[in-house]
Formats: sequence, C-alpha cells, structure tokens
Amino acid sequence: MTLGTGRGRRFRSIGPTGWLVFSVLVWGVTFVRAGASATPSSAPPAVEKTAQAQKTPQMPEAPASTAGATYVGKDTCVTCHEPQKAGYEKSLHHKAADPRSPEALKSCETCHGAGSKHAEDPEKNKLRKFSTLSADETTAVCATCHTSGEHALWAGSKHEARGVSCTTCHSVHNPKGEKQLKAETQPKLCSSCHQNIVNKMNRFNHMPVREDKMMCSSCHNTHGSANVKMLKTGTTVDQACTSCHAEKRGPFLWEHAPVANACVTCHDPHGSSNDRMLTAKVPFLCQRCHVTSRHPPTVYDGFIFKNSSNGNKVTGRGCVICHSQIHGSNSPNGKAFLR
Amino acid sequence: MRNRLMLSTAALLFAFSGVATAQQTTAATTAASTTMTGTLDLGYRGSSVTGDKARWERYRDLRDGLTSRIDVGKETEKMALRFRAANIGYHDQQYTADLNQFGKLKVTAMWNSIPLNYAYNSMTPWKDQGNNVWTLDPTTRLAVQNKTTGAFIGIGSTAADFTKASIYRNIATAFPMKVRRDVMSVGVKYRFTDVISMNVAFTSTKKSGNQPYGASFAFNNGNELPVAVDNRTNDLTAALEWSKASTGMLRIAWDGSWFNNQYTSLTWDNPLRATDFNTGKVATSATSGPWDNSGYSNGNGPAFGRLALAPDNSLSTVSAMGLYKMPGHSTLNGQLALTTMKQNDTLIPWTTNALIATPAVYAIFPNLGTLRPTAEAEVKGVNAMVNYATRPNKYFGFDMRYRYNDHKNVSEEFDASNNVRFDSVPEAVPGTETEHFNIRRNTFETGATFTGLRNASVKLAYIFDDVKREGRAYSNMSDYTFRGSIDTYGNQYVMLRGVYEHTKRIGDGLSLERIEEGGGQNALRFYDEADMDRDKGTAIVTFTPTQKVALGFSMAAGKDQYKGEGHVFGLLDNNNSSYNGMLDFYLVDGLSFGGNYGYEKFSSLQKSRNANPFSGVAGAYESWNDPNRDWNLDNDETVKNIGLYLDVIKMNGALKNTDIRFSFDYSDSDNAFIHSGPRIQELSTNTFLTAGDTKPCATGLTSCFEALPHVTNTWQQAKVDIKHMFQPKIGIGLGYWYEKLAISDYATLDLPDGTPRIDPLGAIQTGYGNRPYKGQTGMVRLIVIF
Repeated sequence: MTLGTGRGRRFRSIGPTGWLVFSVLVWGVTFVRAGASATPSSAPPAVEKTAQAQKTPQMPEAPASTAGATYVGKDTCVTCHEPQKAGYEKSLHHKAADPRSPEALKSCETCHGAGSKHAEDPEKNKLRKFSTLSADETTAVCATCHTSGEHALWAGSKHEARGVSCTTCHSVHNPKGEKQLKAETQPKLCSSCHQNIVNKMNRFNHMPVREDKMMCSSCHNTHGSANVKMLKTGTTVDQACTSCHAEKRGPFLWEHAPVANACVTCHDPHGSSNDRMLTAKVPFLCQRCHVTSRHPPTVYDGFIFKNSSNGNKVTGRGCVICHSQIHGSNSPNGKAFLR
Repeated sequence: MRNRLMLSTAALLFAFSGVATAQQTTAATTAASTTMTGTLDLGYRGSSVTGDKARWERYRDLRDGLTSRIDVGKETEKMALRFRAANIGYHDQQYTADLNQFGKLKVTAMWNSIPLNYAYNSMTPWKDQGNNVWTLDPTTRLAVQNKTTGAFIGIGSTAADFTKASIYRNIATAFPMKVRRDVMSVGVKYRFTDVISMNVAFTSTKKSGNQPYGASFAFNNGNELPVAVDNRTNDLTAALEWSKASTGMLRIAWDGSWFNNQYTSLTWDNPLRATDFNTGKVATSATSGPWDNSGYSNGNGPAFGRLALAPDNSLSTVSAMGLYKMPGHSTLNGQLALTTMKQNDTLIPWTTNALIATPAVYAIFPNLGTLRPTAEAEVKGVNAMVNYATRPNKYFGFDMRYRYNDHKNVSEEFDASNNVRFDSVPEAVPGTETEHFNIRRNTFETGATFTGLRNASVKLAYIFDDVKREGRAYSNMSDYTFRGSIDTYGNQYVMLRGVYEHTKRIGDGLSLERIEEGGGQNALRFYDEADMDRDKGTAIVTFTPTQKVALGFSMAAGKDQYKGEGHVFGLLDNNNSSYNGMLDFYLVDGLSFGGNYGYEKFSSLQKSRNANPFSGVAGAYESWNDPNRDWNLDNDETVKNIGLYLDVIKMNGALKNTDIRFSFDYSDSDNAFIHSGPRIQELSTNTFLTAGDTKPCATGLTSCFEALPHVTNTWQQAKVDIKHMFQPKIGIGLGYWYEKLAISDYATLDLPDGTPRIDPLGAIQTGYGNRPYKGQTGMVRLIVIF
C-alpha cells in the first residue's frame, strides 16, 4: 500500500531533483554575478604595504568614511578608548606571541580598521563599530582569522542563517565568562534566546548542567557542525548520544527500530519530569507504538496497580522491568529485548 | 576525611609549586614579563538533609568536610599555564590543567568525576557473588517454590497480596545504589607552521557502581536488580589541519572509540523457583516436554536466568572537513565521514534451563542446538554534508545544504526460528531472523535571505528530508518543510527574532504486513514515521530602553498532528507551548538583579485498543475488531518556572570589598493522565458494549477502573554567597544553599514507616523511586588571592 496523495503530492511533484536543479541555477547566477561585481574577499586591504601588512589576514572593506586612512597604533586609540583597553589586554587577541593575533598585526585597527582619519575627526569618520554592523558584516571581520577547527562550518550553520553574529555571544572588550562570553555561564548566555530549553535543566530529571558537570557546549557546537541540531559529535543524533553512552552503541544482534533512528524519539536530553528523561511516563510512552493484543495495550490504571501482578508494568521501571534490553540485545533470545 | 585532606594538600602543593616555578622564572627573566594569578578558596561545608539524600546529591558529593576550589595561573608574553581544581577528594572532584604557548602549542588535561546517586536506602534480597551473578537464599526460594506455608508470599499478585509482605522483603539488605563516571582526557594541539597544525586527543571514561536494572522471568515475575557496572570507553582522535585565513581550511581526521565492558552478562536467581520447573515428561513435541507451556506467564520457569549486557564494541571514523572561501563573499564547506562500528562479543547460550538445553529438546528445536560463537555485528556508515553560502551584496544571501547519511548494517543475519522465552519455554517461530535496520537519509536545504530591510533580515527556506529505512512500516519517509524567519540587528533598543516552520511528513511503501507481523493493529502508525503535519514557531522580543534595564519576552509553540490515511491507533497529536518573560536591571556599576518567569504546557493524545488476538473462528466475538475496546490517553503537563537573582559585585561605597550573590530557581510540574473512550466506560461500569464480549471485571465488582492521580513535583533552590575581602588579597566567604523537592508519584511505593517498598504486585524491586527531600548547606571559606 502506498500513501502520498493530495496536498503532499503537490509538494512532491516539485521533488528534490527539481529543487536541486532550481537551486543550482540560482547558485550559478548568484555566483557569476557576485564574481563579476563584488570585490573578491581575497583582495588585499587598502593599507600600506609593509612586511607586516602583507601577512595581515584578509579584511572586509573599511567604512567609506575612513577610505585612504593609515594605521595610527594602539597608543593613539587608547587616549580616548581607555575602558576598552583593559578587556582587550586580558584577551588572547592581545598575545603578540601568536603571529595571527590582532596585537601582532595592527592591534585595535586590525579589527576596527585604519584609524588616522578617525583620529582626526572621530565624529565624522566612524570606524568599524560592531554593535551597529549586520551579522554578516561582523562575522566577516572575525572570520578573517577564526575559520579553523570548530569554526570551519559556521557559514550556513543554523546560527549564521538566523543572523546571529560572533558579537551576539562574545565580547572582546567586556566579557563576563570564559571564551570571551557575554554571560558568566553558558546556560545563562544561551537562555537569552533558548529560555524554554534552559528551563528544562531545572526539571526533576536532567543532565548535570546545573551541577556544572556539563555545559551546553558538551553536546553542541554553536559555531556549526556536520550533525543536525548543531550537535558537536558524529553526524547523526544517535552518534552524538553514544559518544558518551557507548554501551548503547551496539551494533546489537537485535535492534529496536526507534533506537537505530534517534534517541530523541523517547528521550528529551535537556530534561524531563519523567524518569530517565523520557518524553512521557512509562508504560504510556511504550503504548504510543505498541498497540497489539494482550498485555501491551492493557489499560494500566490505578486499579491494576493494586489488584494485579500486571501492576509491575506501572511501578518502577514500567515495561523495561522485563524488556530491559530495550536499546538492543546481544542475546540469541533477544527478539523481545527480554534477555 | 583524611583522604580528602591529603588530596587537598597535594593539590595545594602542586599549585604552589607552580607559584615557586613562576617566581624562579620571574627572577630569571624580567619581573614585568611574568604574571601570576590565582585564587585559593578553602573552607568547610556542613549540611542537614531530610528525605531522599541520594536524590538531593544526585550528580554531586555534598558530604560534610573540607571544601576546595583552586585556580592558579602563570602567564608570560609567550605562554600561559593554568591549573584548576574543585571538590578535591570528593566523588565530584574535577581537575584541569592548560598550557597555551601562544600560537604554537596548546595542551589540555582534565579529570572529571561525575557521580549519579540513585538511592542510599535501596534494598535487595539478591547477593552479589561477583561477575554479576546474583543469588537468593536457597532455603527461602525452596520455601516459596514448595509453598510450604501459607503465611508468606514470594511475589504478590492479587488485591489481597497488596497489603502483605513478600518473604523477600524480610531478607533484603540495604545498600547505596550509585554509579560514578570518571573522565580523563588529554589533548594536544600543535601548530607546525602558520597554516598547518595537528590535534591529538585521548579520553578515557570509566563508569562503575551499581544501577537498577530489569531482569525477569514472566509477566508476574518482574525483578529489578542492582546490576554491577564496570566499563570503560577509550576515545582517540588524531587530526591534521591546514588552515589559511584567506582561503579556507582542510582537516583530515581519524577517530577511534573502544567500549569495553567488564560484565557482558547478568545471571540471577528466580525468586519463585529453586529448581528448573519440570513436568517430568520427556520432550516429544514442540508442546510436550519437561517445561510448562505457560511458564512465561505463570512463573513456572527456570531456577535462574541469564541475559546479555552491553557488548564490547568499537567505532572508527575517517573524516575530511573542508572550508573554501570563494570570491563574492561565498563559502563552501562540508565534511565526509566514513564510519565502521563493530561488535563481536561471545554470545551467551540460548538458555540457562538445564531441562531445555538437552539433545532431546534440540531434536525438536534444532536451531537451539546450534549457536554461532560470536555476534559478528558490523555497521558501515557514509556521512557527508556540503554547504554553500553566499552573501554577494548587502541585499541578498543564498544558502544551500545537502546532507547524506547511510547507515548500512552488514551483520550476518542470525537464525532465530527457535528460541526460549524467559528461559522457560522453547518455541518455534519459523522464518525468524534478526532484523537489521539500514537507514539512508538525504536532506536538502536551500534558503534565501533578504537583508535589504533596515536593520533586519528575512529568510525563507525549504528543506526536503528523505529517509529510507528497512524493518519499518514505511520504507520511505519524506519531510517537506517551509521555514520563514525574521531577525533584527543593530538596534540598541529592541531586538526581534521570529521563526515559523511548517512540515508535512509523507510516508511511502507502507507495509501493513510488517505491522501485523509484530502483532500490531493494522490501523497503528508509529509516530516517528507516521504521516504528520507539524507547525512550530518561536518569537523573541527584547527591549533595552536604557543601559540599565532589559525586558524580554519569548514564546515557542509546536503542534504535531498525525492524520495520515488509515491512522487510527498510536500517537494522534503532540502539542507544546512555552511563554517566558524576563526583566533585568543594571542600576549602578556592580549591582544587577532580575528574574524570569516561564509557563509551559505539553499535551499529547494517544489511542489504543485493549484486545485479544484475532481468533478467526467464524461467528466468534473478536475483541481485536471491537471499537468498544478502544481507549484514549490524554497526557497533559503544565510546568511553571521562576528564576530570580541579585548580584552585588565590587560595587562602590560600603560594599566595595564585598560581593553578594543571591539566586532562586523554581520549577513546578503537574502531569495529568486522563483515560477516556468506550473501554474506560466498560471498565468503570463493569459492562460490555458489544454483544458477545464479557464483563471486564472480576465477579462481585461494579468497577475495575481507577483513574491515576497526577504526578507532581516542585523543585526549588535558593543560594546565597557572600564574599568579603578584609585585606586586598585575603577574605572570607559564607554560603548557604537551600534546596527542596516535593514530589508525588504513584509509581513509587513506600511502607508506612517511610522505607521504600520493594515488593509491589508482580515484582521484587530495589525500592529506587522518586521521593522528596529538603536540604540545607552552610559553608565558610577562606579566600586567598595572589
């Protein structure tokens, strides 16, 4: 029997192939136009060609008001911007021993642009001010250096696509937490957009985040990843979970189909009011799928609990008191996950 | 205590050795080029706890005694070294050490212990004989088997038994049930040149202790044992990376992971049988032998059972990740990963039952006489992701992403046409083989972003997700998703983010036979693959009218409706909504306070049918087809959250040397289970609605349905921490924590004296459950800063 009629059929008539062709066309047109009109991002900055400048990572275009400006040096900047100096000097940006750091290049002007014209007339000639830039413009500056390791998949990531920029979460001059974060802790920072998720950390059953034994970044790479949901490890949900819960990795002789698909079919990894962070209480969670005959679809209520040995499906572990190998069994008798 | 004291002293000596080294270095170079920073925070902690102390500690070790938090760092112009330690000597101790030779070398080392405390007052009548072999007192077992007196029960099974004690309750001994995860990791990142670096990391995780685990013999003989846990996972990563800021990067990596389990099986005594049940018959056919054909339901089973625990396994991944910066503010990035998962543990025998593991039985069930020695399980994976993003001008952006996951199970199929259920009954199910779930997933996503608006961007996206699976009801499942979002930026007064997403899931290749093979109603659809409409959205608004006030509101809602053709049973809908408000004040330098309030609602509706198998007898009443056997369950949960805080940090004036932090967190959940439908009516009134059916309740009852009470829990935690520096580098700290959990869960049973009940109907358990607690903790600390 095959389903897929009506409204869905119209969606499908477009199909992945159609979308792929369409997208490639858009991609091609965009690429050709962009390549013809835009300045290549690899174009050198409009700065003096000192030996140091030649090593400078590629910067986005400087604000028009400072076109033709030259570098004046940090000492000039801090005559007015003393408060920003303290935060900068505590950051890794200030470690000149790293030849890729801003301090080893043009200090403040590495990120903010050459400042001679700004120094002459600060009101008229604004430098690059990150709080007023678009997300793309901000990120373009940071990505001139931060493209390796965990940042490599930023472009096209969920956060990037939603207009989150580096400075949404990080502050060079006034950080409150490690990694230049704008909040003391990751949950506090992430709660500014994901409060409903962070609330789950206070649920009765939760990961040890509020105990400081895990962080949001224990599972997620907020800079983009090859996995879904910006999961840090692996390329599927189950690979991410079994990177810590390796005992459930298998492969088993007998597999439970939803387990092979995704752990989140049954578990809420951010916290839940149910044992083992299940999305619903047992046995009701199991009964969402197991509509068979005999004991699986029995009405497990308060009466059974007090009057029948079937009460053992209601107390404690529920169904998994017998089906304890629910993540998979390596026993020859493992078909029903009893052994 | 002595252990913790010694460990604390050792850590202090280590920390101060860093200081001494630094001072020598300083003397050797210049005083200005080396800085030492550090905090020693040492004190004493005492607690008062009532109720479930294990739940109170859960992932912590809050025993009374010395406390420590050490943070020592040394920094020169070329390198930084940092060592941190916390909770030294406790089960939740943590140590980290980092060396950063700027631009050249990074070394990180970490030790993190994470306890998971289940219960300190759990009880079990089983005794651990080592190697996860758990035995019961033979005399008691024999008494239960022989029913030598009527004064006790082995496992209760009737209403009358509900008020009685099992004989095993009296011989059970108390023990603390807990596990601990110890994680050790070392990572090295070395930069050979400006563009080439290497990254090697090794992590070893040991998990040990006892955890509750199900191990049963029959429907009326379910047991929970404190199974011993002792396993280790070793992970090794090696990567070589080329990275050039103007061009992109390429990373080639190999990841290996090996899981080793000390215990690969669990063996445990049957509380109802001291010897394998024996009819005295010789095995002559599939239904006649020394076994009881109903042994899996009436408890006439083996003397002991054995089940397979998690097998040793390995995962190997070779991957390449790349980023290419193209002209026109365009980027191409992606990853290709090839994985191999293997598991080849020795298989345990078909059964522990000596009366079934005989040549006579093997003659009838030939498959039981053969068993390949090892699992021979292997999965190969190909996972790829490629992403193209372009921002050619300030008005327009375009993204395209393709993801491919292929999970191919290449394990040798396993013939299970014969099996032994619960070690009690040999069975023949011709044609039964292990099922391997191959999964192939293609995801294509494309989106356009319009950024021409003032300080805002609008994005429209389309996602096509296609999943092909074996072993499921649908062979193919496709999600078609449209997403629209708006995000503002660059306005210092207001920030708005909103997203709406609609998904239509359509399955192909539905096999009703596959559902029926599993014993399911053919109108059942599994919710992780069923046809579905999903709508979800979030909105966040933040106002910052002045630098001193921030006001925010967010909401999120989602609605899943399963309404595919022929979908009658299973999950029918699943909804959630969440509203959160927050207010923060930063009135003067060093003073901030605020809070948030959240209200969340979750609801789901599922439908089932309480039925016996289809008999196929002409004219017979078939509950299998009787819609009056249908029942629904509405599961509604409401959660309220409150968070408050006050931070006074280095405020000018009288409090300039005093830091005060206060926080209060609150989470309140009310979970309702509302049964409805004709079957509930039948049970409630002991009637039948369809001719031919029978009354559902036992004789003499007018009803055999009792609604389940709500499951509720309220957790609250208040923390106050005051730190006063009476000298520039010396201060004292005072801390107070209050934490309380009020919980009511019908599934957790206690005896009148408050101790856990281990013998509910149909089971012998450990008593682990959900119980309230209240804890108060006080701390006094000496703080030294250098």
